[in-house]
Amino acid sequence: MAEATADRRLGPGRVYARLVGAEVRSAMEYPASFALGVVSSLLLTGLSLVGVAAVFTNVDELSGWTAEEVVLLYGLASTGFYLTDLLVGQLDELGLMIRTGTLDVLLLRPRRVLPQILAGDVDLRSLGKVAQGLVALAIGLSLADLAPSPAAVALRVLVALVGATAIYAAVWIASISICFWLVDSREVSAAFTYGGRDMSSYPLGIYGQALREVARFVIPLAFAAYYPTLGLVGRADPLGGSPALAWAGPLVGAVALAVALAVWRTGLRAYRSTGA
Amino acid sequence: MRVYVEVARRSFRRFATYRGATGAALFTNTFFGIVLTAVVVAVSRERGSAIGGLDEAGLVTQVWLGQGMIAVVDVFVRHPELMERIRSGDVVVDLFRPVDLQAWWAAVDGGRAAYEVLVRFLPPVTIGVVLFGARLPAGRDVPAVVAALVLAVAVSFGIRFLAYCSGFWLLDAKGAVRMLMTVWIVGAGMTIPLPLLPDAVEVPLRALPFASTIQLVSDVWTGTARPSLPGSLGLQAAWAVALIGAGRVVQARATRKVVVQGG
Repeated sequence: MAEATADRRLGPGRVYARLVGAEVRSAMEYPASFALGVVSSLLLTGLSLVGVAAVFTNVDELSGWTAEEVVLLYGLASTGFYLTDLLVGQLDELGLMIRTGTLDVLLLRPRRVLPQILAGDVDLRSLGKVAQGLVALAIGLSLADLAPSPAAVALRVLVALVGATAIYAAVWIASISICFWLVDSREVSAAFTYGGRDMSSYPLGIYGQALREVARFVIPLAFAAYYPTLGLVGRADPLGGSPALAWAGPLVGAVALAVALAVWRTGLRAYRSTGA
Repeated sequence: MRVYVEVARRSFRRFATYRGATGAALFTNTFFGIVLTAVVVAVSRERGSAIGGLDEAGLVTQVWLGQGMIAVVDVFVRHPELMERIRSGDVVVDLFRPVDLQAWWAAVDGGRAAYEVLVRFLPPVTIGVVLFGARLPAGRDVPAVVAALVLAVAVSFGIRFLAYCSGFWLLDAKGAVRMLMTVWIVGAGMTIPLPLLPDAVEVPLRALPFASTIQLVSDVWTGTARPSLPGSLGLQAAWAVALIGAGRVVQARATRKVVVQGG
């Protein structure tokens, strides 16, 4: 009986906290190697800024955006994306778990599957990738002409990051769920996750009509970084969106997460072990 | 010699059994192709003139060619079997065989690359040409394109073989390989076509072997080989010889001096 009570107290949040705690302790066993991992992932992810920088050695503006504004956009998208990577990046292993049968082990435990996977193998070196995003964000914030007051900027950035993280997480969970039906589909989800990251690092205006509509109404990537950046630099949306959309990230993210979790649950119910 | 041909043929057939992942990969290549196309087209239109000898269609061509090359030269290091065998100690079995380790794995990789050309290279390039205005190579350049493609695979094998062999000393080459991969993606011109970079960055990147795996193939394809077509192919060949030669030296040292971990 006492055991049962203790058991109930160990909800998904606690399970997650404990497993992450264990991961932190194990990483700290080799502090030098951990530091090296963080720094190298910071530098390596930073190479993608090379792409953005390269674009602006050829042109002064891209679809009406200056280099500073695009760096800001990249910084918001990148920070949000890598925060998401830190939280749910382990989902990339889902296809492998299904193929090798390790998912069945998790299903046997009296705990929800998603938190178990998320806490399974948190790669803390990803903190370096988040730091890379923050560096880009700081550069963008200091170079771009910002419209709101400093306090308002801080609030807007915070809201934007919460929204971006929720939206990317929703995309990640929903797209990796395809693995429940098609084991070999990891590459498809990479298009949505990593492709979504790349896509939201550039102004929406450079894309064709179809892609723009998708980013606004279907896979709401436009709310992750595009609208918040427009708000920060005080520019009207050339596509006619309201300035209030800059604040919509968390709400859109919450709806998207609810949809994504529904997809996940449907997938998990449809899942038949590969018998491996 | 015949044994290596047979190994390559069987490797081709083995990869041909994984059909499921092919459709998924094409979807991803196409999506990234569309996003990158939008970026280079926007840059090209804003600039209004050719960049590094490439007009809009030239840049679009490189984007789709790059998407096709990803699997052929295995930039994402998706098939690190040899690395796993070195880590687990199974490589000892390979060393017992009366064949050369490097030549054996080169044959395996050759079979793999040949298969990827059919299923991972041709489809995205076709999509790029039909739907997005990518160009086909000029008729007289076709033999040179084929040569550049073969050399790119050789250089790529040279790079990966060396990286995997670092596992003889590092025990686990994973970290080194991951680092290599990120530099490779930028250096090959996948993040952004190298002609879009300022000269101070482009020139040194072009001299590195990574450019030989994708950028130089694209140069030959679009008819912008530098400094000349023979010069460009010569650079690729030089890297292939140097890297595969270095691989032989490393392999000789590893098999003579290193105690392989068992287990």
